[in-house]
Order: sequence, then structure tokens, then C-alpha cells
Amino acid sequence: MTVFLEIEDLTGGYGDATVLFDVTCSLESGQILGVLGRNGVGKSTLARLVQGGLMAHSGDVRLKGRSLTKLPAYARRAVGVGYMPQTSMVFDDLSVYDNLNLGQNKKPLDPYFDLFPRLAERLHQKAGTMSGGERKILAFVRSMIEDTRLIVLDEPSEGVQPENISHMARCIKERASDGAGIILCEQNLTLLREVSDSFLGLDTGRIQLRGTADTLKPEDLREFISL
Amino acid sequence: MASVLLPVSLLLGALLLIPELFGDFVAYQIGLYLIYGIAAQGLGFIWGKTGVLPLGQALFFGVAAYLAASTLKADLPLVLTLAISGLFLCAIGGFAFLLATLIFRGRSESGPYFSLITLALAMIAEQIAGTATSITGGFNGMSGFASLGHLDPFGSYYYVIVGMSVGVSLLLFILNKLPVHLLARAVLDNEPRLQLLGFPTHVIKGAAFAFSALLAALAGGLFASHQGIVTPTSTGFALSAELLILTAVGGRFHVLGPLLGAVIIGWLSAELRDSFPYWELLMAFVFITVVLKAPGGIAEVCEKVLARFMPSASASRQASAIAAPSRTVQAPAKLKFHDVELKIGVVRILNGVSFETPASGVVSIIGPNGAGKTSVLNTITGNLRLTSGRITFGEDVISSRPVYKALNRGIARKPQVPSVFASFSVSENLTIASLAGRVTLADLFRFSTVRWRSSAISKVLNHPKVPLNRLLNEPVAHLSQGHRQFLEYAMTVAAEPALLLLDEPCAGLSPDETALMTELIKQYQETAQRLVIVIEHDMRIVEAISDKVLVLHLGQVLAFDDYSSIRTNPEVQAVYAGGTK
Repeated sequence: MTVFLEIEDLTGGYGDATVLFDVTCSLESGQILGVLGRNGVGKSTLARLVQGGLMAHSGDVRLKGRSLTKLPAYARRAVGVGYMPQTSMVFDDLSVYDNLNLGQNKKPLDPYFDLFPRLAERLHQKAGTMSGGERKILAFVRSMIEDTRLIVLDEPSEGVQPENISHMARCIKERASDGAGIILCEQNLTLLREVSDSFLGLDTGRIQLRGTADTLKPEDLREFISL
Repeated sequence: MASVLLPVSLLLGALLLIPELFGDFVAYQIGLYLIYGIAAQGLGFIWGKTGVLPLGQALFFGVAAYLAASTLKADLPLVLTLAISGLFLCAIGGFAFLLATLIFRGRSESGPYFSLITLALAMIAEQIAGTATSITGGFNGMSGFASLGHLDPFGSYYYVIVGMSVGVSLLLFILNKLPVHLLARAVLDNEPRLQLLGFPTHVIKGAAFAFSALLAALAGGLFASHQGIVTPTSTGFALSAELLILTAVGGRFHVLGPLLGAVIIGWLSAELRDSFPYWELLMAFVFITVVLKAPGGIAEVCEKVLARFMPSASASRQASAIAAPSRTVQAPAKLKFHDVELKIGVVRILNGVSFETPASGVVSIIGPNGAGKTSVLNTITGNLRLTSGRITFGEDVISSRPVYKALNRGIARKPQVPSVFASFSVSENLTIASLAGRVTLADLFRFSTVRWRSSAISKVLNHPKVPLNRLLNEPVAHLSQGHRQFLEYAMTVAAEPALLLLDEPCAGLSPDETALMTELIKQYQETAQRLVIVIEHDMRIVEAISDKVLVLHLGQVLAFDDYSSIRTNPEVQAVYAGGTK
């Protein structure tokens, strides 16, 4: 049977500078892979290499057996790869409604408005007039409602109030239960532990920790991120 | 200095050989290209450094050419001619400075309007030159004057042009080594951040435009003397566009790029004009190819080739830092909000916010997303203008001041999303921050100033756990978000502010990095004994650092008290749970 997502010996970075080295891992649909590590170890680089914002120096990324490595970001989106970047994540001059309706969206919005009522309150307001945390939530909801099979989330909890982070966790788990594979790059161990089925720990661009929610204790994760 | 003297010496040597090798007529032609090259170098300076694109540089070129022609026609003694020319140059530079400063004052995003205004002015000047026959000679132009000092345009006048061209290049190379160049580039990279560091960016843009206008005017004066005639085409759109093409093709980021562009395109045009009927199409193709394939122009391609064969020539060495002069630290002061209201369009962001902080200590601002926390900081620094109410810091009313004045009042701010100068190295970012609040105009023209490092930055860098010392030469674009947070923090405390505003300084940090950031904030407050305001969601951090906590909800103050009282306040508990990483 074909593996949902396979990442094989993935190496990449910025220009001539290599940041990520020989990353190999896999993910089944409906699973959530938590990627953790200190700042600068390559989490965002891994996210962008999978999403296509960066092209790999070597290695391969396959979604249901199809290689994505040569595809640009827009073509990866067309085959079902969604992405929420760490920054610059909404269109400031468009309304909240327009932000949510860009792209190929199929999920209903009401359940998300119940969890994040500020979005409904500000539906016709320009996204640029919202606070940083609200914009982050808007970007997160957009990544959830899109018709995607693989969702790459880069630090969605940054700048978001704790109550909304727990709502985010609920959304991520629901999206996975619908069959989406999710890669969650995070520093927030509370969120990571709450949602992840398996973990990948990065240090200096290489995998230094692997395990599942059953095999890795919370203190293992805390110790790793503190290295 | 070798990186300055070597290219300038090579340029001088090559230009001096031209009359000997190719004769006077080729030297005459090259002289004309060099004149256009000087004007293009001015355009390259403002466009390449600050990103501001004037579309009407021929205005200054043409006006100066007409003024020079009038002066030469009077046949005054050389010294008097030069003195009058100097006055004209000052007037043109002053006009350009005023024009740009007025356009950009209070509206840093006015770049497109500026471009169009300069274009319109050039077109108006061309119209006037064509119709004011009694002054300009109309479409026939102004002629019948001797060249400067009665030098032969086909002979000795070439050496005057070479001297000017080499002198301008030398000046530009020297400027590239000075802090003023760093600030000009910083405008292009991140203008809002530069304003938060206390720099009036409209003045920087004005100065850059004045300098580019001066070079265009210098070229115009040389042109009049070289050609012996000045026509309306010297002031108009066509020449402005040509200068733009020369700059883009040659390379706007390099001192010699526009000069190279002027000589290469000028020579190619002259050669092809008579032999190839579609030469203009070919030139258009060259322009499009360069813009698409080598945005840095011919100079960038040459640099890359040079770097491949001589790697050491392109490697930059990091000079050791020197202590920046100490800054007069302002006395502790209370921050007071007096019934502040803020509306953006129909959206009410702050609704009657009033509170008064102590003069020293850490005040944390908490509240749900969208409560108005960042907007409070935006009103303090002047990023948002109040709808009504007043904000005072000590005795000063600080509301509705321009952003760049906040630092001079002792207010420094770290934005919510790390906003550093992404195309600069870590070290260059720290240098710019070290200049903030202490650099004088004279300092901007001293080589040693680029090595300044403020004592507050040194304290942060010397902390054994802060991950910046080993990254000093790294481009900031390669830094992770978390490392940028530490860089931002170091840049914000550089001026040792009386009011330090930190918007979510721990966002994106791991638990250990969060502990380190918390320690740095506490250390700063304990050492400086000033006011620190922190926006934070992590209640463990809030508990660890706060003397007072301000709770905002729906743009209003819900509570303002010490941490233990806030924690047990039922109204706060009803709207905001808080949490930990």
C-alpha cells in the first residue's frame, strides 16, 4: 500500500547555505506529525521544502507516491498541499470574508466561527486592521477550511491567546480525523503534546529525536527542546 | 581603502588612455557618455539605496544645462563662472531636498506619487523650455557660447569630464563605507523600523534625492559646455527614461554600474545607429533581458564573475566593534493615558482607555486577541493617531507625534512580529541600532561610526546564552524567527530607553529561550530602573516579571492592579484564562 507522505533524504536551505540535512520520515493520512526543536534548527525550512516555497537541494517528497520535489508551490497546492506560514499569512487589504473565501474552500465556516467568534464579528473588516493574534487565527482557519490533503502548519500558536490555542488543537485533531495528514512545526509543547501522534525532533538541521506519543514522555520533549 | 582606490585607479587609467589609443573623436564621444553616466550614477544612488525612483532626473540635468549655457554666454572670468555654477547647484539641491521631504513627510508610502510628480515636473520643464523662446531659444535651443575656460570639447575638455567622473565615483565609493550609506539602504529594507529607531526617513530620502539631483545638475552643466547647445530635449521625458535605462542596464546597486551602462549603451547605440536599422529594437531587447535575467545589471554580472576567479576580492572582513558614545539617559517618568479613543474607519479599537503607570517597573498588558494591546503601543509610538484623548509621558504630551520622535523622547519599541533589516547582516542591524538616538550629522560621515556598538547591546551579546555572537556575520534573512526575537530585543534596548515597549517578546521562543528572554527583561529593568511595558500571553512570564498588570478587553481597561489581585479578579477570569507554554 502506498504511504501517504514520504520524505526521503531531504536536504535544502537558502541559496548556497544548507540548513536541513538528510531528513527522512513518513506520515499516514489522518496522522499528525509534531516537529519540534529550538530556534534555527530547520523547522520552518522543512515546512517550506514540503510546501514548495523552497526547492530541495536533494532528496524527495512524495505524496501518495507522486514526487513533489520538482513542483513549485502553486502546483503542490493543486495536488492538495496546504500551508500556514509563520509570518505574512493574510491579505491585509482584503476583508476577513474575502481572506476566507480565497482559494478552493469546501469546509463550512460556521463551526470555526463558533470557536473563534471574533472572525464572525469582523467578517467585513479589512484583515490589516485586526490584531496580530486575530490575523494568526484567520490564517489558521483558512488553512483548515481549504480542500487539502496535507496541511503544513508553521508555529500557528505564536501570538495567540491560550484559550484560542486549545481551540486550534481541537480543529487540528478534527481535520486529521477527516483524513488529512498534518505536519505541525511548533515550540509550544502543550499544543504539540495535545495533538501529535508522532514526533520529529530537529537539531542543527538533522533529525535527533523520533518517537510517538506513547514512546516519548513529556519530559523527553522538554529536555530535547532545551538542549 | 584598497576596495575604493583600486577600482577608481583602474577607471582613471582606462579613461586617460582613450585619447592616446583611439583619438580625439572617440574621446569626445566617451566624454558625452561619461556625462550621462554621472547623471545615471546619481539616479543609481537614490534608486539602488533607498528604493525611491525619480522619473524626471532630466529636469535637473536640463535646468542646469540652461543655467550653465546662460552663464557661459556672459563670458565671465572662470572663477566667477565656477562660483555662480556652485550657487546654481546649491539651489537645485535645495529645491530637490524640499520637494522630496515635503512629499514623504508623514507619508512614507508616497513613492509612486513622488515618481509621478518628478516625471510631471520634467515634462513641464520641457514644455517651458520649448515655448519660452526669449529665454531658452525655444525649440532651436540656446547656443553660441564657448565651453568652460574656452577648453576644446574635442581635446582638453575631455580631461575635465574624466576628472569629474572619477571624482564622483570616488565620492560614491567613499559614501559606501560610511554610516550614511547604511541608513540609506535601511530605508529601502525596512522604513517603519528605521523610524522606530528615531530616524526621520523623509529627511534621509530628501537628502538622497538632493544628492542625485546635484549629480544630474553637475552632468547638465558639463553637457552644455561639451555640446555648445542646449535644447528642450535636455529637460524632458525622453532623457529621463534614457537615464533610467542606463542605470538599470549598468546596475543601480554598484557605484560604477550606471557609468558602465552609459558607456556601453552609448557606444552600442552609436555603432549600430548607422549600420543596423532596427538598433532601437535591439537595445530594447538588451534592456528587457537585463531586467529579467540580471536585475543587478552588468555590474552585478561582472562582480559575480570576479568573485568566481578572485574569491578573496569579494569576501568582506568584519571590523572589530568600538563602544558607541554614551547617551544622555532620560529620567524615569510616568506614562498616563487620558480617556484615549481610537477608531480606524468604523472600527472602534480603543474606547476610553485611562491608566497611569509607575515611573519605574514592569507593566504587563494582557487580554484576549483583539483586545487592543498592540494598539495601545501603536498610540504611544505614534503609529496610530488618536481619535480623542491624550497620552503623556512625564510632562510631555506624546500622542499624535511622528513615529521617529518617540525614541528622542526615550521611547523604544520592539514590534509584535520581529521587524529587523532582513537584507543586512546581524552586525549591521546592531550598528544601525547603536546609532539610534546618539549619532550626529558629523558622525554619519566618519568611517569609525560603522563600528559603533552600544553598551546595552554589548551586555546582551555578552550573555553566555544569547545566540547572537556567533551569528554576527550571518545575513538576517537566514535567521530563525526566535533568533530574530533576540536580535530585535538587543536593537530595542540599544538606546537605553526610559520607556521600553516589548510586544510579545517571547513569541516563537522555546521554554528555555523564553526563560532567557524573561531574565534579560528583568535585568534591564533592574539595572536601568526605568519603565518596561510588555505584552504577553504566557501567565508564567507575566507572574515572573510584572509589578503591575493591565487587562484590556474590547478596547477598554478591565483591570489594572498587581499580579495576585488580577489573578483572583472574577471579571478578568470571566474573559481571559491565560496559560503557559
